[in-house]
Amino acid sequence: MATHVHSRGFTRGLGAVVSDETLTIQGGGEVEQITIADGVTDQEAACGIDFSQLTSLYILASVAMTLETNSSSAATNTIVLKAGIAYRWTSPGSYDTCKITADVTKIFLTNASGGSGTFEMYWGYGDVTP
Amino acid sequence: MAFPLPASPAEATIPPPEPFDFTVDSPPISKQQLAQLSAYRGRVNDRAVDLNDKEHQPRTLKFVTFAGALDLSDKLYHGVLRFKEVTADAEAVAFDFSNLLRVDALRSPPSPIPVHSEPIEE
Repeated sequence: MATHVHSRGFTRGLGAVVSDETLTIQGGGEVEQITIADGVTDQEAACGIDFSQLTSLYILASVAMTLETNSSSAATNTIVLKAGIAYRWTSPGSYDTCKITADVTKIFLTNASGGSGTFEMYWGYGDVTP
Repeated sequence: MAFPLPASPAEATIPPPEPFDFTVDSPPISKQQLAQLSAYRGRVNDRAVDLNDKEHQPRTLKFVTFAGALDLSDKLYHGVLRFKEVTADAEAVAFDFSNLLRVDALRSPPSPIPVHSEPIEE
């Protein structure tokens, strides 16, 4: 069973650590790292997210990309990914609601960044434990 | 059991982006237009075009790519067109850059109509 670990912290000036969180989730799935060439629109990848069980989500693209779920023409959800800045969500652990709001059977990726880049995605179902 | 971490983006093997010499602002484009633009990559201008304060002779300007990102407010991609100046490329496919998204900046100015005037003899 896969174990996903979300680590995040905050350090005040002078190096004083204010928070250092580690959240662990057992179980889930992934879209392994894939390369999306520049100019590719709607590259499809298999994905199976049961939204009712979702407790953790981590998405990372090395360049700006657009992620659409379930359909390339009428997406259930659209997420605009910034280069190298991961989208992270855990429940509990996040103030905002998840950008994924329904089951996902496949995803479509568009890379208009001007360069080739990688994409990866991990999700979890189990309890989120500190 | 620790989850095997994938290679970080910095470690991943990513071909370097094609070099470019300058960019031109692009009008917002749809995803369909983005796909069309991809087909134009590597093509050169088939006629002289004024761009970037310079007149480029036929086959001396190559369209490299569009670079931008989706704006969720209007669901259009906002970005720039990247170009490279090349030595006259006889091999590349040439096309009319004015068709490239119908960008005003890419349109060659219409040729002035020659006017020959003769002094009016009275």
